[in-house]
Amino acid sequence: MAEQKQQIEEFVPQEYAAGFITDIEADSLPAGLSEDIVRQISQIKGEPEFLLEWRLQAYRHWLTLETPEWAHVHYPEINYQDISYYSAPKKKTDGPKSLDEVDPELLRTYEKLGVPLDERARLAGVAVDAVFDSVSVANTFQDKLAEQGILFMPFSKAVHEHPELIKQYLGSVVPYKDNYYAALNSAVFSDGSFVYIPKGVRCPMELSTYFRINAANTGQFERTLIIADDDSYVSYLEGCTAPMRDENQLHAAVVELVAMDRAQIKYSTVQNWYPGDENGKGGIYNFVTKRAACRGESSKVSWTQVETGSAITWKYPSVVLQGDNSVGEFYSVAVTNNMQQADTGTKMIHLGKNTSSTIISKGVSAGRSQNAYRGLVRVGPNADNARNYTECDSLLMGDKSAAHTFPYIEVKNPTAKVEHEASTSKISEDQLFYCKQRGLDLEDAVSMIVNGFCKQVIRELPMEFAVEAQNLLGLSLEGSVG
Amino acid sequence: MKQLSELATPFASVAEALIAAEGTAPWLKKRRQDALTQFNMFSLPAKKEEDWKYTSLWDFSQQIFNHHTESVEIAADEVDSVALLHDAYRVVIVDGVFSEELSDIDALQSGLCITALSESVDQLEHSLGQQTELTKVGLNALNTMLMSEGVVISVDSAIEIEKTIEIIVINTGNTANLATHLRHKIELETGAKATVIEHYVGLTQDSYFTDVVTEVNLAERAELTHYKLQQESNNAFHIATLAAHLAQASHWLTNNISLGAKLARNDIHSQLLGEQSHVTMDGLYLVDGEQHVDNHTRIDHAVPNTTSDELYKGVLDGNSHAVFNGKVMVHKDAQKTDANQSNRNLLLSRGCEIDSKPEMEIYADDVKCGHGSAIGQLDEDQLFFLRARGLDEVSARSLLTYAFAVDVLTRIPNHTIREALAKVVEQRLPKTGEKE
Amino acid sequence: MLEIKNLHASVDGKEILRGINLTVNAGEVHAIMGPNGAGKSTLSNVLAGRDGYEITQGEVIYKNENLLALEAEERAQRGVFLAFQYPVEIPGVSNIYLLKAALNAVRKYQGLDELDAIDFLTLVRSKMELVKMDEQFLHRSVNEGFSGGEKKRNEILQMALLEPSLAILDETDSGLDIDALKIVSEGVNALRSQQRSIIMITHYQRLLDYIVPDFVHVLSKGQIVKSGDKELAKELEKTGYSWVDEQPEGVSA
Repeated sequence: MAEQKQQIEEFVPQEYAAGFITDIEADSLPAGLSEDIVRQISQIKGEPEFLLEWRLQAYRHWLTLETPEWAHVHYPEINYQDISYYSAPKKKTDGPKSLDEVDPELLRTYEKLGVPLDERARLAGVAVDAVFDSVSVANTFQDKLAEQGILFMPFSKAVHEHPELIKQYLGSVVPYKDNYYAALNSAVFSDGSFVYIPKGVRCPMELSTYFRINAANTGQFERTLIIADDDSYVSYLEGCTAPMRDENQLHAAVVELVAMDRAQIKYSTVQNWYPGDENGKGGIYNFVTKRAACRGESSKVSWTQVETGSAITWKYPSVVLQGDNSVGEFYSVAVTNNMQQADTGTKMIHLGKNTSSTIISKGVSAGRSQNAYRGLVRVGPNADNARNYTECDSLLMGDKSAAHTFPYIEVKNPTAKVEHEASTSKISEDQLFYCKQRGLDLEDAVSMIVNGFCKQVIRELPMEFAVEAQNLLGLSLEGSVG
Repeated sequence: MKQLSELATPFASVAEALIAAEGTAPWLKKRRQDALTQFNMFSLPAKKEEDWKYTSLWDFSQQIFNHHTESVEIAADEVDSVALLHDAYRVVIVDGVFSEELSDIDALQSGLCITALSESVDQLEHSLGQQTELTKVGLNALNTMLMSEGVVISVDSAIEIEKTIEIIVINTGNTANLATHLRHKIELETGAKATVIEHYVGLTQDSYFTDVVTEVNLAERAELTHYKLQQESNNAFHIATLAAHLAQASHWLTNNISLGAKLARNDIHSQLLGEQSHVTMDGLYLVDGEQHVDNHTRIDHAVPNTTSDELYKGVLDGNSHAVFNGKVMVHKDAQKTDANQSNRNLLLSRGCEIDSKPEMEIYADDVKCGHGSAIGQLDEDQLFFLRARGLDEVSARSLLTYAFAVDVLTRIPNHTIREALAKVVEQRLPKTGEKE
Repeated sequence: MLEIKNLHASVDGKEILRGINLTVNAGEVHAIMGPNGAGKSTLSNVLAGRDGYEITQGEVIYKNENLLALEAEERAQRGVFLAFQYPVEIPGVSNIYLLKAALNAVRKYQGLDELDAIDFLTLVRSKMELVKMDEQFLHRSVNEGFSGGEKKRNEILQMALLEPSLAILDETDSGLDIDALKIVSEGVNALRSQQRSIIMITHYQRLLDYIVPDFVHVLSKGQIVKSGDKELAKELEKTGYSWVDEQPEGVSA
């Protein structure tokens, strides 16, 4: 018994497979943040005036804000003047036209991460946008998608080719005034993905973006905007990795989704930023604002996230249910190990009539980590017949980890039905013994039980990601739980 | 700025006068002075304070309260008519003043001591304030600097008090806008057992302010059953703190029923400090019209092998607003904690609002903790069933609403008290049916 | 196959097993009977390697190895199988996944390759007939929402698949109606062989009508106080366990 306990608590350094550094020349802006830097970023990207103005407004607003302190996370104050706000592999000015133009070193990087950019390769059914530090370096299947009028391109390219869409939708879901990190992102964002699905089109393949932070002392501030017009459907995936570095790096993204009448957006994330070492040195600060507007009637947005990486995660993918009969879903697995801290959850804002939302959150805390679910379910006075179901379970491994649950439920309509259930317990000794008695070693038994615990969420992921996510769950907990 | 600083009532100068009053023991002067300093620094919490996110004290801060009781006249049969129990040790406080004539504590069971705070405060130097933190943002400082009356109950070790003790706090309306600041202290020594009811009654629909802090200290194996029945005027402000320390194997059952007041706020804090200790923390709130009720509960599992069970239910009607915030904190090494919490709400009309926030913070791994929160309406199937059995819709709704509410009383062990409370609840429930 | 010598074990400082001696040879079926609290479940848990038991004295030799030195999974991989009295539910993990993982863990120890999906399925199907289980059970979460009878049949299915050398059936008859008891017993009987030993732990005699043991032992207060053949069980049926408790302590320690 004592031996197993010790095994469970004992730390064995985990393998972070994505921790390598790509040696590539980069153009970077010097560290520091000022109006001038904001102007330079805009200038490098050759942006129209309206966008520069917007950035500057955001920057000026950001200066008036204070760092939010309500989340259950602790870290030393970030010096925003120490960060470089732009870094791009040399020779790239705009999004690449074809893979032949992409630096082979970059192709190898993505190959190593299991994301071959070759259209004939394994992920043949998935269109990929590869974002490396501040810019998109490769973007596959654009032509094939364009045949159906689908736009899937780097954000910076969309700014030039479809400024009217950018002008109409940018900041319409997450205004720059929304919060501290959203304001910062709005001022300095560099690239990200832009997706537009025209009316009545069902996107024939999964769209995905792989975010990679490579350069040191650089923040990544990407901005993703997805618009699904009436009666359209799209499934979008994102993956994130970064090298192992001793310094913390900031990732402050903003993702905006807009679903029009009867449109459906499925957004899946496997977040595996570098989590830092066993003593909490290094790792990504993942401070992200993700929000969807179910603007049209009967529209639906589904967020699925598997969060295993980052030193600190601060993230609440939300859905504003404006359209009548609209549906919001949030499926989340958050695994923390060692010194990781996660404060994550969702907001479901019910405004239209007959709206419904589902929240399934699974937290797994190991090592000395802190894992908090924070969620808001709000039913406005006019949201007749709103429905919400929330299930929030936490699994603890080892007596030094912690699990917290902070749900906020605000209801102003008497026809609402809201149900929230949460539980916290440790991994069951009975289950472990049962598996061991059938011949499984402790590590396999733990991995199997944790995967079972997270199954409700994993099964929401597209197939390619589900397998990756399952492996990641096992890997993230390796050693720490024996 | 997270506090309200402009207060219409000069609480600070009232406190200064109390501190300066002759005959006050030096330790008490110092306590009041420390509280005043604290109060001057932090004043009243504003909505930006997380614990006051859904409750505004703005209206309260604009009230001019009176600190001088003009008359304590009340007929004896009036007390009888408001009392919950007839066979009880009765302690009566009228408009902030202890009434010996109206109380019935002359022939106490041996081992039981009941006194008025105003008479016994000098002996409380070492126990007063033990269960409450002055520094906590909230109204403890206000109470400490101004407390003037209350009830002090102590039970000797291994004594089981057979009769229930009912503290009746009455506002007669004789003094306009009266503010009363009460401090109760309940101490049970090793193995002692007792049942105490705190009962707050307003005889008018006037505005006034009741500020009360109740401290409970349970020694090893002590068992306290505690009820609070709040029936203040619908224009009154009732702000209360209830804090308990539980030693090894002690048990605390508390049931908090909130029916009155324009603004009612309860901060209930249970600290499980000894192994095998247990708390059952139940509550019911029925609000209507413009009423606002806010229950903030917190349970600290500080040591291994402790258990807690919590059920709060609410029925909201009119334009009322209810807040439930229940925090369960499992401290490091508090292994084998078993904690269960549930909050259920029934919304009866447009215009009402519920904010429910069950929280868990868990720093030990070998635990079983769960919470649930539900907001909804009466079950349509049940309604249909009752109507199919011949009840009209209004009666069917009333019956189901009553059943929903009295569910909170099922864990009350004493039959007489359970029946008496159920009756009070029944009278308070809306009799109308459909409310759209 | 198995030799238990003067085994003493305690839980939280309280001695439960007080000197068990038992030899089980290949192919034998032993029944261990006894009243509640005699130490029956403790014995099965100690043999299977569950945490929380302290071995204070004695040893257990299994196939010439010190069984007590092995982890639970190492014992399982060497062919020790415990059919649980209360089979554990594992939400989200499908039955078939567990079966496959368990079989492959055993095969890996035996130096065999993992079975591919098709061979595995064929094998499982053949074993399922033994306990009359429907294929849908394979895709449900392990024991979750199973009835008492289904859980026990599932245990026997696992036994059939893993083909242990030593199977310990802990109160396998508890909670079973007569039909389920027959199915389970037939399953076990089909698995009896010259190479396989079985220890049945039970409170009641009725199981032994269906699975006839070679030896019957009576466990009381942590010791085997009487051994015999199947007739002993019948005798117990008539007299109950009261006489057992009247025996003076320390008969065989």
